[in-house]
Amino acid sequence: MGNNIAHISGSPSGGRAAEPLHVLIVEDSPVTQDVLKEMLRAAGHKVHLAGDGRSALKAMNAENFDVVLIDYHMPHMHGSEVVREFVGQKGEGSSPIFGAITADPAAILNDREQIRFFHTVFAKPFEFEEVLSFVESVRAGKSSDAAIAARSGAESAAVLPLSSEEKEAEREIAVDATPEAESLLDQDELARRLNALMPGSAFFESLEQSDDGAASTSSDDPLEIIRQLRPGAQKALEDMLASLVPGSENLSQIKDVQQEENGAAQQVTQVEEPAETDRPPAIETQKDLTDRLDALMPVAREGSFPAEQANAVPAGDEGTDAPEEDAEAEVGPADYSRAVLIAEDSPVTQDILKLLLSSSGYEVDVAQDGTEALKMIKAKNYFVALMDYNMPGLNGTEVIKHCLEEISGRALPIFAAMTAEPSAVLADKYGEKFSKIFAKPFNFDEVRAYIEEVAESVLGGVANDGAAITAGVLAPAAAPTVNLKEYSADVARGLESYGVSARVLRWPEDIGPAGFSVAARQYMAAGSDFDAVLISERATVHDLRHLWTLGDLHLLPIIDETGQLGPKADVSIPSLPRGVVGRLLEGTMQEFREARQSVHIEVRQSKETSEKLAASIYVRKRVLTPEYSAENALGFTYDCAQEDEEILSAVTNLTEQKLLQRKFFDRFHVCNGCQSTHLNVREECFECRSPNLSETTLVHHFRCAYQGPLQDFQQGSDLVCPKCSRELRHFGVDYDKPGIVINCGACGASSSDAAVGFKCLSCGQHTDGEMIRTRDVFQYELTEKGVAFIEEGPIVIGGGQKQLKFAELPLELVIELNKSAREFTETSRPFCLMSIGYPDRRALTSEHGFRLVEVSRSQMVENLRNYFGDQAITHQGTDYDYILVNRLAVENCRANIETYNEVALSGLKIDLNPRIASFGPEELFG
Amino acid sequence: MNLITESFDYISAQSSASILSLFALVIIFEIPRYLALFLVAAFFERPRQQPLDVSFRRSVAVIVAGHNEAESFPRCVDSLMEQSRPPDQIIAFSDGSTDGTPQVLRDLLAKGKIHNAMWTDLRGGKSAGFNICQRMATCDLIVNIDCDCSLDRDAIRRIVEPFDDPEIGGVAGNIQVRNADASLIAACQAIEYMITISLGKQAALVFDQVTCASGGYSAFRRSALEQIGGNDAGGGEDLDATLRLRAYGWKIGFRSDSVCYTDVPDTVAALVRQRFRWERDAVRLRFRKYSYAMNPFHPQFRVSELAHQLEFLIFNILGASILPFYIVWLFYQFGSHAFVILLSVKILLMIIDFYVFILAAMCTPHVNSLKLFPFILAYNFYNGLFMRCVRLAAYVDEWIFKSSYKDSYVPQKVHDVRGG
Ligand SMILES: [Zn+2]
Ligand SMILES: [Zn+2]
Ligand SMILES: [Zn+2]
Repeated sequence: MGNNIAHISGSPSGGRAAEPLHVLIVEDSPVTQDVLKEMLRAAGHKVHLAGDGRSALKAMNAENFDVVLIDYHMPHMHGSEVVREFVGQKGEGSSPIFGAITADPAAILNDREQIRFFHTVFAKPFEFEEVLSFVESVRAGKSSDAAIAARSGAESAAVLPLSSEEKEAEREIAVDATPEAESLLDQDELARRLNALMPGSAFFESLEQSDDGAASTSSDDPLEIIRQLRPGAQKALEDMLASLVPGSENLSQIKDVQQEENGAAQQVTQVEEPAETDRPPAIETQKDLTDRLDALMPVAREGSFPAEQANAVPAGDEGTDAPEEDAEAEVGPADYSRAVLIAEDSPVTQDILKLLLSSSGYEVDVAQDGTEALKMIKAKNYFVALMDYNMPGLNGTEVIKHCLEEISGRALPIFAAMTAEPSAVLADKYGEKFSKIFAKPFNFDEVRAYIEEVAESVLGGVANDGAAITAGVLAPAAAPTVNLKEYSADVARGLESYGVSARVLRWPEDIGPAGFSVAARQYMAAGSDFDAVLISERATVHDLRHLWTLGDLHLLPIIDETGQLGPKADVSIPSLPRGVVGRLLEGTMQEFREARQSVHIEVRQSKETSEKLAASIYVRKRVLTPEYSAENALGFTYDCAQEDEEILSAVTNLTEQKLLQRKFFDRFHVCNGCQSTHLNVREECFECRSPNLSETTLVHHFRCAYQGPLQDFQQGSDLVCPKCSRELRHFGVDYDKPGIVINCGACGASSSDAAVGFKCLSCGQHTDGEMIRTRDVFQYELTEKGVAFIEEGPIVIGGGQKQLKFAELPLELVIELNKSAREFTETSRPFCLMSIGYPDRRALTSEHGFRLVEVSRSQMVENLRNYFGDQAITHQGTDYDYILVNRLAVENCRANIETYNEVALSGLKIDLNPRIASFGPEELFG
Repeated sequence: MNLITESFDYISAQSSASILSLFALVIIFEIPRYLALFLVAAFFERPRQQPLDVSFRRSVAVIVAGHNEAESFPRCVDSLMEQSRPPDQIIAFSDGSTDGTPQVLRDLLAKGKIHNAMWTDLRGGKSAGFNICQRMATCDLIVNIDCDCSLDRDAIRRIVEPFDDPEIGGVAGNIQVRNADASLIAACQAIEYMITISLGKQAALVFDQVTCASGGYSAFRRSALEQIGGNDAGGGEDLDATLRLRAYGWKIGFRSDSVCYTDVPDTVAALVRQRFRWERDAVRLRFRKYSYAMNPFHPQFRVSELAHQLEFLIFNILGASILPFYIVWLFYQFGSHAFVILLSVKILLMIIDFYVFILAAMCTPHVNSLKLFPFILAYNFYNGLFMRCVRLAAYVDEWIFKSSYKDSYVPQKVHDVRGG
């Protein structure tokens, strides 16, 4: 609901000396208290705080305040009660200016009794600047001797039973800012003018639709028009009107409209006809309109622009009861005017568009396919939806068609298409609904420029640019820049010398140590793919790290022309016979392409290093093999173009999850000092650790029992016993050689054995053989579970424990959940959502066939529905099934989960082994 | 009973000269040796125990040798580390072991528990092993220990004290029996060790007649060993070395308070084999290799050496050899009365044994002698008859067959070349 009313947007105090105002803040949240106080003090006002209604009354009786900001919902005493009591005591004439702060503006707005006391309402979360502006406007009013200022905004203006003097005063303020004659403008007139102003504009699409809809009669309602706009458009409109329409209007009409909106009935409208364009622009009091539109802005900023509230409503239906506020309204973006939806199935294009648009300050959401895009557009207001035309599920125009059919009464995003075949889009019946078509390969700068253009024109200066945008709506995109075309050709020629035609991402032209070249980014942003990565100059894996940051580029085969990457490359050309290169390259790329396609989209998009690695292992024949490498301090390197340290930490993770299994490869000795495996292994003296050892044979002279090293006996060519001086004549008869002795040249020690020691070649540290650390290195292979994870996505890992995400839930279920949630808030009626996952689904499918599994699933859900009866709402998804059970507390659900499990499986032919997780209101909405 | 009464009547009817001749064996071969010598030993002042720092005046190397003793080595090394005066150097030697002893030594070396390890692939005999280890030793004193022995905490401290006397070249340790409980024969040996080593060597020390610093446990001055060129080939190398040290003028000491335990054979067969070896080696060394000691015209002749040679000749060889003649003579002379006479001799000897045992127990500190007390009776037969027979057989064997040259304790290759 458009609810709160802001300020007069003229510059505060208009250059006059600022006079401090007495401001009372009645608010029970200490944080809000503090922030407001600090902010207002900084603006030079005197601020008093009150924690509840009674102390506020006390304060107001003791002191005169210029402005009182009251939290509407306070313990003991409502904001309006405070005001009523105060006004009752003192009379309205001497009242300060009251502002309400509330998280539920509708409650105030629906109550005429209450609203009339307030000059403005700030809907939480509000921007403090609004408050400041409001206070400033009061100051401005005060200093120009106005009795009461800032009666701005639709609702308050409509509600307040202002005296004529007050009205007069208000106008004076307005005139003070923009001194022009006021005039009245009725709503039909405004609508006509708006339409006339912007014929065919995308901003008015929904408006135009409802224009033609049989049930809709409210399209002439200016407020409706405004409400249907995206906030940016509202701003634009405001500015436009500010420049075009002098005069003022009867503000009370706006309030009426607000009432009508609150009493809205849902309506589906479907229109293809263009808007009327023949109405002449009207003249209005510029300032007045500005004020009114300005008042709308906070609505937009808070993004609480719900579909239901904005539905087309017959004008003048004032008597309609205020509807309950549908919780679905809360499903809205934080900042609608910056929200961009990208629907695109290539992870690379997704990533790069997201990256670049995010860096330009947009809030970017990504949809994998048309179905998801539709769901997201339904759930959230986007300002632009950039869609791949060819998507799995629904294609681009089908999404638009569904949007038009299923979303009514609220603004749709501006749709832009990305496609390799613009003609196909244009030939499509709904093709013209695309405001812009970007032909692949397109220049990303065009996309950005376009979005910026739309954003800018939406936020200001639409008068001029609106037409330009409109003009571009149906026209195919301009041809890509010469650069990109040339670039694409270049990219496609990368492997020409091997007689292979493939699009290659080249090192160092396209990807360098600092990242991707501008051209490569543009190329990828345009939705174009690569087939391989070509390394034509020396590169390290560290240099190639960017491949792991963008989409699924890490799943491309790496073709190494230099041979330097060794096992880290997928094809090392120098090691191949010349004749087979072409064939091998083609084969490899084909294998990778096929493997890539089997990788589940969520895994391809994953930002988790370990999941990226798992996918990489998958496409690389499912095995991660270490190979000896002298260049690497680890002594080995994995055949994966990622840094080995990264790999090691990732595989640990994956092995724990049982996605990988390991096989012993080798044991490396590691320097205790620097972790290097580059060690000199040596035999050393046990005494002094010198490797200066010499080994000699022991000689035993039987006769005298002298036993010593051979050199003791050697005299020329003879052997003579040093003890008894007898000559040793006959081996085995008078002497033998029973063993060896090792002598140390450094310390003279001798021994039968030598110690083993390690000397680090990198840092020089010496380590005894007994003390040396070892590192076992393994080969890793994807387990069956790992393969399933790659092919079927994270459901395999998460099972039932996966956090429930609203975005994954079907819309109908979200609506039902919201209803249940409201019931829960109002009447404490509990509810419980159960999600049912099937971790064994893959195995079951391969065992029993797809059909039986799916049928069993349906039967299982049916069983549960029967069990719970009317209280249950079920929904079958792809990965999960959901059951929403009203009047069932989640604790009870958890306590009985075994029973449910039994019930669910009764009569089933196969054991689905479902994993049931339950979520209560707190988990879902808390 | 008749016989006994008659016999007593008969004996009491003899003249004192006759009675003397009757008990000649006892009088000649037991009383002087035990009564006189041991009495002296028991009441002679024993060497004074010194403060601990005295034992550190000279560095000590320990040579642990063994053949196929993979399990004993770590235990023995541990007992060395436990010494109040730990050795400065431990040298382990495995003589051609085939039971993985080298690996055990390698581990001990790696752990730093021993300082040197030597092993040979071929067995070369104890002497050859000791020789090479002795040259690896860098310390002033070398303690030689069998790896199946274990030491009292103070053993090394005490055995090195006598080296303060510069004339001392070697010191014998007090070897006692660890497995006295194993069998009757082991218990008898335990008594024997107490008497012959604790008491016997103590007595010998008084007269500077210690002749065997046992290979099981003894200490030597390294310079002295170098002077005699280490051990010589063949068995009985400990006796050999000691005799040679004496020949070079070194005095040999004994410390009864430096106790080392060893396992003795617990079967008669094993005991007989062991004693055959010892006795043969003793005969060979004393009366072949060192026979000159009994030749007054030999340049190296010394009275002190003659004394222990004679002692051995008289008490061991003659004592054993005369036994059969004595018994034959008894029966020839006295007929059936000989039994009674022998019995009374036995009774007399038993009394002597009892007395000697008490003396030995007094000379053997730190050893629980009481538990051996019941075995004195058995010891009497063991020592008086059994050992004499064994010795006699051994001497005959050596004299006639020169069996010590075929001893399996020494590799055949050594016997082959050593000749006489
Ligand atoms: Zn190092
Ligand atoms: Zn020789
Ligand atoms: Zn050395």
